[in-house]
Amino acid sequence: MNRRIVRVGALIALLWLNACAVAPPPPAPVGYQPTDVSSDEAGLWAQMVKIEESLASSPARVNDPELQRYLNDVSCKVAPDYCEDLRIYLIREPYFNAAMYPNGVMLVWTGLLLRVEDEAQLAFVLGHELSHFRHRDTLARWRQIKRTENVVASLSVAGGAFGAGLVGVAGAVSGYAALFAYGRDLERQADRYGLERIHQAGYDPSAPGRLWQSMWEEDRVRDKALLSGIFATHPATEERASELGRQGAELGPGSDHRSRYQALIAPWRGQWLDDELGRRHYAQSEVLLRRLLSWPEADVSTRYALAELYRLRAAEGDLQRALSTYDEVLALPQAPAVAYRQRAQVRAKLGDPSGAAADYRQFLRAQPEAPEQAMIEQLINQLEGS
Amino acid sequence: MMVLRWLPLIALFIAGCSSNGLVRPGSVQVDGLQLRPGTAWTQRGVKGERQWTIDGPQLNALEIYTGIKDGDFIFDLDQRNKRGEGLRYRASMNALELQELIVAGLREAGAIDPESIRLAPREVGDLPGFELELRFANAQGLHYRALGLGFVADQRLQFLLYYAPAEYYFERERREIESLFASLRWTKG
Ligand SMILES: [Zn+2]
Repeated sequence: MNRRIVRVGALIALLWLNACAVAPPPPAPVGYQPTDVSSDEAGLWAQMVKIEESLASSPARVNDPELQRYLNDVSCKVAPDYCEDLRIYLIREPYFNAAMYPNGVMLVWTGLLLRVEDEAQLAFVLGHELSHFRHRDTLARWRQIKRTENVVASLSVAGGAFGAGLVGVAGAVSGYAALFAYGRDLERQADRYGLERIHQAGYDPSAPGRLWQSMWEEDRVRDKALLSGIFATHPATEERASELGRQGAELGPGSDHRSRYQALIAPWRGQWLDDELGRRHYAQSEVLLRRLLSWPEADVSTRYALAELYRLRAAEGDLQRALSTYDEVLALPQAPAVAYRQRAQVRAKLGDPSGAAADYRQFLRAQPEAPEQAMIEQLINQLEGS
Repeated sequence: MMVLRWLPLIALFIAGCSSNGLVRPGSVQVDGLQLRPGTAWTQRGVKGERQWTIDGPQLNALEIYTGIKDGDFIFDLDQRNKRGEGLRYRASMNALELQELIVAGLREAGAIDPESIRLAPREVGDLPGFELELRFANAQGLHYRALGLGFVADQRLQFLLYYAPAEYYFERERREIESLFASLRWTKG
């Protein structure tokens, strides 16, 4: 993991050296496609077509036709003119990330949807990415990148790995991260463009400021040595959050369409939280979970995720916190049976063998065919023998 | 898993200290473990993180992780980052937590939807350990099955993971893997 960060970081650092040396291409008109097949742009598109083919059939894609339709609809609301040019792929990856490919492919990661609060925030992210498409920012980056031979080699390694082996989407997309490191000016331009677009579409223009404020709060505490998703190329700074907030306040009110967004996300929240905790980025996840728990939509899966975070981190006082949070979860009617198994582990560590054994038994009563049944039987025997 | 993911980098940066070669049938020593393969495997990797394969790592791979200390990342050679967060082994972990860590590690390494379908106690010599069976898909949607065997010796986690496409290859080598696992002993390297 660290090596990848080091590599992407080095790539970005290298690219900054000759940033701004290439004039930006003119904006892409609606329905744009490179016509000169011998151009570098056509070459880049050809690579992107290959990536899109593997994306289209990837099991990492989230299979939810209703949610997919909704994402398409929101993108068309934000960009009616580019509606036909954009193709959104929702990818199951726990990082906060979205990326725009020059051929109209937009990747949205589930970690982004987990963090977005309402439709207005989502619309802003889509509008921001659309700016990179419209202004052909990726092509400009590609031309900078091509000037450095080593970087081309690195990118093609990443591209090659995409089609082979067990390398996931996160790894492959990170390999391309340099392509999306557009720099501060283009990011400002994309923010402004996204804000104007959502304002025109009737969305609440204060939404982007709130989203970036939340992302900044996560970015502040995250372990910088670990893979970061969008933060590698889109720094979440206080300045950016307050700039967006200020610009949004000048534009007046709009709608957030919170409830329809939240209703579509609700069935996925448990799985996406599980993916989030799977990274073991505790400090960042804790900030996220505190925020999700402050929402009216907070459900049992969010409370359970907080208990899990404490159990997994197991720092000073965490096991006690985990215990009381599992207690809260198990008092709820929709509590998952697995909460008994997890509380058993915490109870065992806190020196309560009989409580732990009782919880393991409760879990096995609910799930007698559990894959770890034999192991749990052994744990119960050890607990009852002690 | 990480051997695969980092292959180009491993080749670039640590080619000097890796030992590639043939593993012949019979008794073999690997980083403090004793194994008895019944067929020939190709080995690559470095101490602590080896990969054996018969037909190529896409088709069958046995990964041998040894000497994972408290605080080490699972599935990752890069241990410079000693503190901080991430998927780290803790000496206090029981088999349920190790299963959880392995599944999360597979996901982080790019496996899609990894899932443990069996976890049971298993002794390695006279040391208590665990065995597990997993399934996952790769980025192209090819389904894999995996068998794992782990135990703690010398306060360090020692862990073997065999994975292969569910169709044909997994079952073809299953008997070889079962007998390899049965032959496994800790010899304190
Ligand atoms: Zn951007």
